[in-house]
Amino acid sequence: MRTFSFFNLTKGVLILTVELIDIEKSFGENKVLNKVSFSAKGGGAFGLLGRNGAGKTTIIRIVMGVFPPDGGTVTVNGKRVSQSGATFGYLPEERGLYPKHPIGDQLVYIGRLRGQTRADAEKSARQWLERFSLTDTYPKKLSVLSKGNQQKVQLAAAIINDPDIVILDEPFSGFDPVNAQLLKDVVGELVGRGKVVFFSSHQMNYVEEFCEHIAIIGSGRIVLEGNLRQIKRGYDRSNVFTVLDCPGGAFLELNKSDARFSEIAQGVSEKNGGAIVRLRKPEYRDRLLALLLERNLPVERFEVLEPTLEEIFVEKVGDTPADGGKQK
Amino acid sequence: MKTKQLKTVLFYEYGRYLHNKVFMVLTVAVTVIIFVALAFPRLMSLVNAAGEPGGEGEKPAVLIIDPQKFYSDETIFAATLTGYTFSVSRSPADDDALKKRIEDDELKAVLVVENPLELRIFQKENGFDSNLLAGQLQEICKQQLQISSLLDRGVSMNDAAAIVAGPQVELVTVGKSFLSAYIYTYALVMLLYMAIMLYGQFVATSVATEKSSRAMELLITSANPDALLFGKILGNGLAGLSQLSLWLVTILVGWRLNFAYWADNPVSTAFSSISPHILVLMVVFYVLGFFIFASAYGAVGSLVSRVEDIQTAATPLMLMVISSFTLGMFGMNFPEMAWVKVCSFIPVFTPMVMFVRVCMSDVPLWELVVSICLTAVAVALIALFSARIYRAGILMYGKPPTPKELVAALKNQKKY
Repeated sequence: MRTFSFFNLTKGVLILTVELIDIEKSFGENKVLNKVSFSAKGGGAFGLLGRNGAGKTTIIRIVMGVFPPDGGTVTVNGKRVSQSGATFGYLPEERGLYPKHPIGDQLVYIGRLRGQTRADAEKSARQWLERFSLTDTYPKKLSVLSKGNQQKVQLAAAIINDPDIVILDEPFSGFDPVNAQLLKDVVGELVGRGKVVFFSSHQMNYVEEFCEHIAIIGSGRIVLEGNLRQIKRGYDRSNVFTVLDCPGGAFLELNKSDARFSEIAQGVSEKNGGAIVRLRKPEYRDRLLALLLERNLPVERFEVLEPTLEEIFVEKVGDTPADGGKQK
Repeated sequence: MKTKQLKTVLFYEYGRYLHNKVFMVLTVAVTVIIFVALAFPRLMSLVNAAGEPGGEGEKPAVLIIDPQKFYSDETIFAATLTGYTFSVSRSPADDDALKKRIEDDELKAVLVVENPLELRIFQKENGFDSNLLAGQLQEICKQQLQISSLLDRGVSMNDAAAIVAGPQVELVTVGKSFLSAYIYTYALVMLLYMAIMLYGQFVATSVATEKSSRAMELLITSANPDALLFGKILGNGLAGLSQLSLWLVTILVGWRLNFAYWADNPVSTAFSSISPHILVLMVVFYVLGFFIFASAYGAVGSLVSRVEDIQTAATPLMLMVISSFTLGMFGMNFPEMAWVKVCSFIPVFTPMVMFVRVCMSDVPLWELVVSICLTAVAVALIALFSARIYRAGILMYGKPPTPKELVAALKNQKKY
């Protein structure tokens, strides 16, 4: 029987928290995970990032209980995973279902393995296939479908049992923009229903779009973890991107003609039809904006530059080896 | 949860067989072939009855040409070879005319007696019975010759006939009839061997396919690996058992319906003498033999990443099955030999060798029980070991691991 200690009373859905504490794992001599800790809460997507072979798949497998860690614990709402009664859904990076078996049969099979009754699994399989415009493929073999449609079946298999915890590994690979939108909608619904969604991807734009929290893994350690917005705020905020609706070179003029500008800024460089002003201190941005307005310059854009997730990722793990601990 | 998953996997795997067209066609086809084969004499008698009006039908004609009247009494031929009609000609033979009559199927054979020691037989050689007939004709002439020689030396007719006929032997078989046991044991061991070999390989292929198609990634995160392995083994084993049972039942039913039409030949005697407990033991030994090899095959399947690699990886196992079969075949000839007895207690060989011993000789009950118990223990141990290899193997991709790598992976597993 499931008992949950956390209830989100406002939405009336159960909110789970998955917590990893000091997870360690070695394969033979090869230490794959070293004191990995983070926690992910329902109702938001959690981005799990790292280079190939950093240990993401091992973390996923440990969370799902495929094998136990050598040290540390994984809990769901404070209980061990096996005792929490939490159910999982998984979209593996290396997609896999039976190519030669009928689609409906294998969806029902996966659902039943995860504890659904036959009736529930069949109902759920039909609902998801209908949602993905694949209703008439229920009796067909998987291999007759196009790649994009196979991916949709794969997604249906991941969430057929309405899992509490959903792990999506590179979910967007192989999807065209229309299907990507469908996937976004589905993930959005899962998050909205309070599911814990783990999201592992190298496509940083999607991670930025979805994930409130991220953890970056490098060589088996957590090198960065936390709320994505806060992480970005922790970075240097003294670069301002500005676009003025007047001919280029306005800033150079300003630089020469107004001494106040050089008090505020260290330098100016041109970029994408605008200019990046490097402030002497981040808080000078108000003074820069005031100066521009005072000089009646037509400001079209004024934006504190944050590093992109991609830049953060490269900075954090760019020098760690790829495929360092890849298990065959 | 684990038991439920086991059942789910079992029925899914079993269901795959029922949905597999090749499997179903093969099963039905073999069933039909068995049935038709058993009904063959009945069908033949129907065909013969239809083809030969007047019931008896025409018997093939044999002409005896004996101008010198050496073999005066042609009724002896007719009395001995009841399947033929005999006629005698006293005029000399015209070879070409005789050949023509045989060509035209007017005559089955012609026996030309040049003198008592020189015979010529003309016939077509178009069946196994051709040479049989020639031999029989020769034998009759030989006996006639012997009798007339004895009569010439003053031996009485009765004595002469007795001398030529030779001693009367009555063979009294004590215990099982070797020949009939041999025939049905051969058939049953063959069936057992094919079932164990085929279904073991199916298990390995099925596991390897799950790995190569990466369906394993999803399965392993959805179910317990033990449930996946043993559910698969049970599902495949059950499919094999269903097939085997269907065929055994077909043999039994087909035999019961048709045995009146089978003449008294060794094959029919053999099938009549299969006792029900042999069939029950066959099922028991199929189950044991299947499990002992199937769990090992499952482990082998988990070690390879591509279906093509199974053949290589499973070679040791295959050799084991083949040697078990070969031992069984040898054991059929010498069921009482010491080494056959010893082998029948070695678990991997028990299913076939002990089965052969039970069929071919009288095995004390305790030996049977001990060998079955030993095999059951071995099945459990091999299953436990295979499950550990399977757990390690299904997550390894790339080349099949070397024994050293495998040991390392198993050691790593011990920490859990």
